[in-house]
Amino acid sequence: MEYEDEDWLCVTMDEFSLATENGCNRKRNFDDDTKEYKSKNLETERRRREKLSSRLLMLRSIVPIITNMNKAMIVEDAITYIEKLQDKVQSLSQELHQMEATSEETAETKIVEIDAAEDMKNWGIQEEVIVEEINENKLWVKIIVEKKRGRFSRLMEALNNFGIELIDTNLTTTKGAFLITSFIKGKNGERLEIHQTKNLLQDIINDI
Amino acid sequence: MMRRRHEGEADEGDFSTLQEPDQYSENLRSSWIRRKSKDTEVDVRIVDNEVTIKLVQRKKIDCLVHVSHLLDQLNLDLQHVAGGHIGDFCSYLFNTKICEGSSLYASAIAHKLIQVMDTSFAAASLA
Repeated sequence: MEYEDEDWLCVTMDEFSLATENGCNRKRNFDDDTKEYKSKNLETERRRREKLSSRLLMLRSIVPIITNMNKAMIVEDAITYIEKLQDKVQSLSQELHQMEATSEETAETKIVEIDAAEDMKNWGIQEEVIVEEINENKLWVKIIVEKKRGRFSRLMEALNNFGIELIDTNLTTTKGAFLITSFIKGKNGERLEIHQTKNLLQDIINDI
Repeated sequence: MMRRRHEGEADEGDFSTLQEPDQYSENLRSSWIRRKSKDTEVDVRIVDNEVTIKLVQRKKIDCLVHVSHLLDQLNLDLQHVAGGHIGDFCSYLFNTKICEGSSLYASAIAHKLIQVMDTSFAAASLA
């Protein structure tokens, strides 16, 4: 038997338990005109259906392509649309990763290097190393060197290898030169001697 | 107390264009990203061809050695460095320029920095 409305299916828990206790099938009271079961839950059920309908309408407004207006098709179209979006996100993120990879690894970079030595000469800047003692195990150094690619990293590596730790560091590039000032100390609390450190730094700079 | 967001201030990971009509006739590429791991915090900002990197490392390892090597790998021309050790932390600010013809993203730089710092810290703790 089919009914246009499903409200007659709503039975309260009290009514259900009463029916099961008595062990008999309770005769359902239908209104002759509407064929609706008069339930206490009727209003609640109506509100629930209205809420569901409004949410489906909202979903329909968000999804651009809706093939049919029935509930099942609205949900199905929404699922299809979400899957399309997920595919798009995946393909775009893959594209981005590829772009990043090519830009870092395979792209030929035109590294334009200014003739730093020429620049320094024009401005009268000379390479120098100055070392001053701050206290027993702390020195202050000032290094002026020609600016070359990778020179700073090689300097840092060399200092690290010789057990020199940089506490505060400042590097500025100007007129084709690196100006580096830093407080340094021995890694394991070793005392650094001024002249020895200065000679060491001079040798490092000549090597790099 | 919540800080009011200034007009034109970018959210984390926001990609936007900056334009100052008086100075620039064309739009500038601008991006900003912040990444965190257990021991490292990285903030990368790109405006046109200038990259500013702020790095805070929670453990004392030779930050400068590893970061300077990475900057060379990424073809970033070092302009300015400032920072040092503060207790058990080391904090540095790097100003660099993207070399002509090179193309870099803030996310890629931040990801690589985190990776380098974490692996070097793991290696240092094993040694």
